[in-house]
Amino acid sequence: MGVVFSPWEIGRRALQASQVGINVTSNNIANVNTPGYTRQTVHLAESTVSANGTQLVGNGVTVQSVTGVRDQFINARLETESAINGRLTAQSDTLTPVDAALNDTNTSGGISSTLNAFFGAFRDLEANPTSAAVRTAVVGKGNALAVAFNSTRSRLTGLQKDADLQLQDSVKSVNDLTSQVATLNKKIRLAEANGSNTSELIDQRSQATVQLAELAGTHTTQNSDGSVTLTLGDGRALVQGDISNQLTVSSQPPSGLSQVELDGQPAVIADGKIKGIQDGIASVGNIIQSIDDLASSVATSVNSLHSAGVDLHGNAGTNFFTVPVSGPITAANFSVSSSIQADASLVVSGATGSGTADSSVARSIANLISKSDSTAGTRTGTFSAIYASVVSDAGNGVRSAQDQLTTQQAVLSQVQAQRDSISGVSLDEEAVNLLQYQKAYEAAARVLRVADEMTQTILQLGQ
Amino acid sequence: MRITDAGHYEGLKSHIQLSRQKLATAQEQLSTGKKINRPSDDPAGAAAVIRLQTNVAEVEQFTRNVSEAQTTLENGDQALNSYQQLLDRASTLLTQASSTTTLTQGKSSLATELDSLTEQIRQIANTKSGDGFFFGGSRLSAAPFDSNGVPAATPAVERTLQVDPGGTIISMGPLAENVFSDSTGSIIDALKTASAAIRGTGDPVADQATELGALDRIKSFSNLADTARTQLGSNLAILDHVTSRLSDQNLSYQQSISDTESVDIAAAALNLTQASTGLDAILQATAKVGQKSLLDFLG
Repeated sequence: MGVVFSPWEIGRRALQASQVGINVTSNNIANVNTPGYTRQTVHLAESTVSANGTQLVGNGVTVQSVTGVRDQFINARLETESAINGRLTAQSDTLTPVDAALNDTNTSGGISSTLNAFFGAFRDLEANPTSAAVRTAVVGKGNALAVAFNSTRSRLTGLQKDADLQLQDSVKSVNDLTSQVATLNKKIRLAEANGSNTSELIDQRSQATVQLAELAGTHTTQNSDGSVTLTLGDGRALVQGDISNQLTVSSQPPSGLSQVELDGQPAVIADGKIKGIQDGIASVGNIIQSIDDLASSVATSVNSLHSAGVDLHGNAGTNFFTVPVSGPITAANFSVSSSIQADASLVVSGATGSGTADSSVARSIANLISKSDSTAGTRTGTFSAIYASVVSDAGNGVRSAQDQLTTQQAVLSQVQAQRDSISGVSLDEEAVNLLQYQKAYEAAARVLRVADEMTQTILQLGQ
Repeated sequence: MRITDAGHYEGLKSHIQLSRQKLATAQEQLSTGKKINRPSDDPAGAAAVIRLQTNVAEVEQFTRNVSEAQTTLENGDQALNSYQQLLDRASTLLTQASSTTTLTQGKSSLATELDSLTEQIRQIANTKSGDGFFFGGSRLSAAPFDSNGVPAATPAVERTLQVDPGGTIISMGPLAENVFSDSTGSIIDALKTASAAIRGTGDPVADQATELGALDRIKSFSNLADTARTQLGSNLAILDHVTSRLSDQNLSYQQSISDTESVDIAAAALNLTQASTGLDAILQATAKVGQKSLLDFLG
């Protein structure tokens, strides 16, 4: 290569390199707020040195590659922590409304206050065993208790249904994302094969895999061809190469709640939002079971005393609360027997053979509220203490989900900060880069002008 | 560690969020006056409050019942007091009648007054209590004495009432069978026989013996009434005692509830101030730091 023409070529390459640098810098600046964006850097290298007589002179600069600055290890941690965060968020979101449903300390009409009022009404009856009005009040308080049980339970099952809808939505999102990942896998594999810049594609895929981890606790494995494999908690693959497997939901009797399936088999979701919702639904289910147990215990205890006494007419007593033809008494079917609703004089106060103005049965029923060895399911204590322990357990569940979430959010933001620290865009840095490339560009242009002047000089020689 | 713009702003946002959450909590506590606004705020405390509220409800219920029982027993005592005065009057009448100096015409008016006393005693024995009878015990179907003064046939038991959570049970009044009757018969029968004797059955000697016998009977019935009143009095004393104990219990339960769920207003106000100052600081820092950039200094 001739002396005169080298500066042209070197200058051209320098201009080009600076331009690429400015392009990359401006792209970084443009994406400063793009979630998941990985900053890119230009890798410059000297052009192959050529021999000029005995002197070795450089041939300028070449743009070797433009790559994203990322750390695979941090990305993996980000996925793990996002999965935990997703699970705890969903759990906390599912359980928080339970707090309101069982918020008896601040509202009247809850199970606790209506239980007190119901047994208090029997205490009134003990003092006024012959009164028809007090009997009507007893029935009224019984109805209020039934409403409290029914509505608390339906609120809780409502929560389960809401959470279930969210679960179905999440499964849809998982399916969308796995197809995206499969498509991106293919694009990245092809792009890598012909050496193109895959940074944007990898960013998109990382975004998707983090979201998948957050939703379903998926585990990502990097393959040598540039693709990733996503697996569920049970090791089955959701995405493998270009293929994504779809999750399905099927409604499970009798609750009608969803089961997540892969290939027709129940899928094990180890972490993430879906797992959190499943946990939340199960916790609410336990609370429902406890409320059912309490309702059944109250109804059975009252019934057994009530049906052993005599009513205002001296006739043998009946069940105060309806006993279903089949199945157990639950908070859902808890109700005052229809015959007693129709005729309050059927409410029992006296013991058999003691006269209708006796009040010993009314007293025994009223004393049930402070009977400390009542049992409901696995709980023992007074009815009030049993209910209090249900509320306390529920409160603890909400509390611990929220506390864990707070901790996890701190962990997650720390990992995100770490990722940002490596892959994030700093405007100050980019401003410096911009300055740097701009100066280089100006200098290269100057080189070209010198080359031009040199060429002019040479040409004038020949005139 | 590299600090990046997006990370920096995310950090600011989450700090502002945390600070706002603190402020919201402090504000809620201050405006509701409670530190337990939902079970998760303090699960154990919420459970304690539910149990205590049940205790309060129970104590309040007992307090109502005790006050009703007091009224009932006091009415019963009043009835027995009137009964004793009637017995005294009957006794005076019989003493007069049995005196040999009393003329036949006078005797007839004494007998008339005695008959009226008898009817009054019958009415006292049938004193109502609610829909039943004070001296009727558990028997609702029939009054203790019918219009002819015949005692009710159905057996009855004394009504009782539990007056405190500890299970103290008191009698809600004696049975007519034990106050207005004894093993020999009822006071009404005794007075009716005496009245017949005063009017004269044709055998003055036997009549006088009957009158004197009736005096003895009145005395023993008066003793029965005394016993019954003593019993009522001691029950009323129990009720007084129970009332003051219930009111103490109520106070202590209320105190516990308040200790558990009420917020210390001074502390809550301080929290609010702190949270608000914290938020101010973060907002100010955000406003200032957010402006710093190299780009500001490049021409």
